[in-house]
Amino acid sequence: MEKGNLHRWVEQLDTGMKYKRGLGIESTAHTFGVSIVDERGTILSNVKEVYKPPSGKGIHPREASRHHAEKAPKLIGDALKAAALAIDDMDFIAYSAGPGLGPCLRVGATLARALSVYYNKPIIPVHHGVGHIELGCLLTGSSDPVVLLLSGGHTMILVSGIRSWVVFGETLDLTLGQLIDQFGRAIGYSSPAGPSIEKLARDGKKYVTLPYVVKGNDLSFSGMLTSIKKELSRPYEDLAFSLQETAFAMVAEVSERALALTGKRELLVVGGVAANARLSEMLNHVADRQGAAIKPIPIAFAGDCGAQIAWPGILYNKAGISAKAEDAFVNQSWRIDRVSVPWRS
Amino acid sequence: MEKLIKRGAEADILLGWWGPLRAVFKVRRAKPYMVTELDLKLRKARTIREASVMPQARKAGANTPYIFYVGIRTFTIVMQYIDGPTMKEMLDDKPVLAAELGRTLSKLHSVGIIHGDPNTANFILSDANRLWYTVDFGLSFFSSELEDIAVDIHIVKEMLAAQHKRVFQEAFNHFLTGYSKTAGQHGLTQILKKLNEIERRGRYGRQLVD
Ligand SMILES: Nc1ncnc2c1ncn2[C@@H]1O[C@H](COP(=O)(O)OP(=O)(O)OP(=O)(O)O)[C@@H](O)[C@H]1O
Ligand SMILES: [Mg+2]
Repeated sequence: MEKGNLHRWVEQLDTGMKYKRGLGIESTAHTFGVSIVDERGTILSNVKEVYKPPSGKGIHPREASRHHAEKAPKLIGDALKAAALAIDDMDFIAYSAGPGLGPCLRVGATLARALSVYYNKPIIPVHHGVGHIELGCLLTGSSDPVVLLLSGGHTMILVSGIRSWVVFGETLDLTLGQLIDQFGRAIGYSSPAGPSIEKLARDGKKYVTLPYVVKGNDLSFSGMLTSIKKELSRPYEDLAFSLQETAFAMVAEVSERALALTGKRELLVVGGVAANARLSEMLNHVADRQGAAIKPIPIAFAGDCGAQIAWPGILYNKAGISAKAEDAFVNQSWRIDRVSVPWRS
Repeated sequence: MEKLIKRGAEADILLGWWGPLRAVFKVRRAKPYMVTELDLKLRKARTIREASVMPQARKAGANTPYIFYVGIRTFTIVMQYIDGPTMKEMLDDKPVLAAELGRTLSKLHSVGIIHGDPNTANFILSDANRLWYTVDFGLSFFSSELEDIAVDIHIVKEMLAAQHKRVFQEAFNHFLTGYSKTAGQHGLTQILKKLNEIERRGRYGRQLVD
C-alpha cells in the first residue's frame, strides 16, 4: 500500500498532472460497497460487506439497510486507506441512485449527500445497471458489445443507443436472479442462492421438463417457478440442474439472436449471475457459433461493488455532468433506457 | 447442392433446389450447449409450429413462402425461396415501411396468430412480385388474449429501438398507423394501454423482495 502510494506520487510528479479520481458508493440491495477509481480506469480500492438474510428468507429491506448503515463508516475509511487517499483528494462522490430497495438506496444517498456537503464535492447519481455495464466494458476492454445484464434486479440484453443503452430483450416478469433465489428459498437456502444452486445442480442427473418461454427477444420465468414448486418431491439436485439448464438455455437463445441480428462481435456478461460456470459454458458456445468473442468479467467484479459506481462517476465527471447535493435523488424503479449516457453514441 | 446463406439463432438457412424450384431449407440443428431432451423437444415443437402456422397466416392475408416439405425427424422445413431484401436492410432509409409491418401484424392478430418474433429481418420484399413476405413462425402461437397481442407489439417496439435507433420514433409511429388500419383505433387504444402496463410491470418496477 505504502509502495503503491509512493509509486503514484512519483508518477504524478513525472507527468505533472493529477489524475481525476472519485469515490463510489453502491447500496442498492445486499451489498454495501465503496470504491475509488481514477480517470485512467485504475481501481485504487474496492471494499464491500454483504448482508446475509437468515436461511430460507429473502432480503428484508430494512434489515439490509441497517446492516449498510452499520458498516458504512468503516468501509468508507477502508476504501480511502487502501487507496492511501483522503476524501479531500476526491473530485466527486458518486452513489447508486437506483433501481433497488428504497431503504438501502437511501443509506447510500444520504451518506453521499453528507460527504458532498461537508467536503464540498460534486455529487453524481449513477444507475446501478449502467454501472455493471460500464465497469464490464472497462475491465474487459469491450467497445461496442451486446450486453447481457444479469443482476438481482435486471435480466436484460442491451446494445448501445444514442447517448443511452437500449433494451434489446428482457424478462417480462421475474429476473433470473429472482427465479434462482425464490427456488432456493423454497428448498431452504438464503438469498442470494446462486452459488448454492449451482453447486447442487452439478449433481443433478435427471432432466425435469420445465416451461421454456421465449417471446421474440423477451423471456418469461414465472411459469418455470410455478412448475418447479410443484415438483419439490424430486431430488433437489435434479431440480436445480433442470432449472439451470432451462433458464440458461433461454438466455443463451436470446443472446444468440442478439448477436445474429446486430452482427456485433463482443458479448459482455455482467451482474451476479455472470459468475455461474454453467452459464458461461453455454454462452461460450453461443459466441463461438456466432463468431463473437465472449468477454467474461473477473468474478470479483461480476457482483455488486463500489467500482461499478465510481467508474461511471468518472465518465460523467469527464462529460461535465454532476448534481448539487440537494438534488441527490433515489429512484427505486429507475429505467435503464431513460438514463443519459453521454459517452455512448 | 444447398448453400448456407444465413445462420439464424435457431436454424441454418440453406439455399437449394426442390425439383425445378429454388428452395430454402430451414434446418434446426442441434445446439450443443443444450441438454438433449430440451433441445429435441424445442426443435420438434418449433418445426411443427412453424409449418402449421405458415399456411394459416397466408389465409389471414399475410404472404408466406409455400412449404414444399416438412421433415419432422430432421427438423427441416423446405419452402419457397423469396428473393429480395429484408425490411431490416431498408427501414433506416425508409421508416414508412414499418406501416407494412403494422398492417401484416394486425392481420395476423385479427385471426388469433401471435407471430412471436416480429423482427424486421423476418419481412422480405420479393423482387419477383414486389409483395412483402413474412417468415420465421417458429415462436408463433394461437391466442386472442390482449396480453399476448400487446407483448408481440412490445417486441416490435423494443426491436425498433434497438436495431433501428436513428429512426425509432418515426418508424414506430408508422407501425402504429399501419396496425390501426386493420385493428381500428379502438383496438389500438386498448392494446397501447396494455403495452404501457407491460412496460411498467416488466422492468425495474420490480422489488427485490416479494
Ligand atoms: N423462404 C425464405 N426465402 C428467403 N429468405 C429467407 C427465407 N426464410 C428465411 N430467410 C432468411 O433467413 C433469415 C433467417 O431465417 P429465420 O428467421 O426463419 O431463421 P431463424 O433461425 O428462426 O432466425 P432467428 O435468428 O430470427 O431466430 C431470415 O431473416 C431471412 O432473411
Ligand atoms: Mg428470424
